[in-house]
Amino acid sequence: MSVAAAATEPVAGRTRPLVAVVSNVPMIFEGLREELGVFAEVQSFPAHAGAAGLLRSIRPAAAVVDDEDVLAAVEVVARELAFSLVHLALADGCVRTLRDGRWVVVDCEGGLRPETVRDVVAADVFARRAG
Amino acid sequence: MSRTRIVVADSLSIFRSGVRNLLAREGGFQVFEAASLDELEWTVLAERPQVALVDLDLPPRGGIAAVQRLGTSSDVRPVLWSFRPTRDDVLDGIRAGAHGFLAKDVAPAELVHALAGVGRGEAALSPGLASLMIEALHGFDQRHRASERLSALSARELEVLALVADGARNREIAATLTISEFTVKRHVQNILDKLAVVSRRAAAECYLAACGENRRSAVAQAV
Repeated sequence: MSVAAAATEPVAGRTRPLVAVVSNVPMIFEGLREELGVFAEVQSFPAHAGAAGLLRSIRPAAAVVDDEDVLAAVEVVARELAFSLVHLALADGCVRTLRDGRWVVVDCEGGLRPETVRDVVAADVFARRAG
Repeated sequence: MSRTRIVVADSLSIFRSGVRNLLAREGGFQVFEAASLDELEWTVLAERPQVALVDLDLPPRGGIAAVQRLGTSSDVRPVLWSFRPTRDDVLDGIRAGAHGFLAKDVAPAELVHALAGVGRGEAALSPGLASLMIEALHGFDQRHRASERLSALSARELEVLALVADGARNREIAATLTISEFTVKRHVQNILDKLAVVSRRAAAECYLAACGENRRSAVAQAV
């Protein structure tokens, strides 16, 4: 099993992939949890300096981050543990994902549609699991 | 019991969905969505909501313009929301007719409480924005007093004072207005006399107080 596949395998006691929404804006979590809940366990984490360390310990299958200040630290952990990382840029309304080590713009026209975030997270998580 | 009818007007879909999901779970609300002023006006006309939660950056001309527009054409009670509004945003929004101003990182329970309250005719103001509102009112009073003082100046003196407030020296002011440096000095002395202040800096402060926060930050960036 590859490192990536191992990272996204359900952790003991977890039957569905865990998606961490790292944000200080409760409405972002409210907007996402129903869509992501279709295939994942969704948990909210505050975007503060300790967020990256927290993700290192819970080992999610994916993280969705809207906060520019914590994004770089979370990216380091995502690369290390090979979990999917999606960035919601509130300033320009773009959804980006870290794919094959590079940031890829998924959509800048839809105004951060929860369905878009769901699709990209699901695609990334299951691609890693299959890989 | 009738449900409170709310339209969420925000260009970002994720916020519309967030509020819709939250209020659906809470119960007692019927939620409509709009991504622009056009959609907001259409929804208000067609669905007759009691409350409109309007993003400060709603396209095309912003939430304050949208609130003004709604005020002339409907009975809907608008509430603005934004991430980091300035005190002038809050004051301008309320003066435009908003029944409240909420921070966009509002806690779910607080948002539900605020929207239900506005539906009953109450006002809504996030705790952090209440102090901003008080500051804004104080600033408005200061601005009003400063404007009264500036009304004693001639149009030319106001031009000179605007340049002084931008940090221009007499030579630069003379070049800009195509007048002699001696004339600039005479204008500056008249300005100090009329405003009853002893320095250019104090006169500039008076000018900036009259112009408000936006002009102040623009000048600060320029300097």
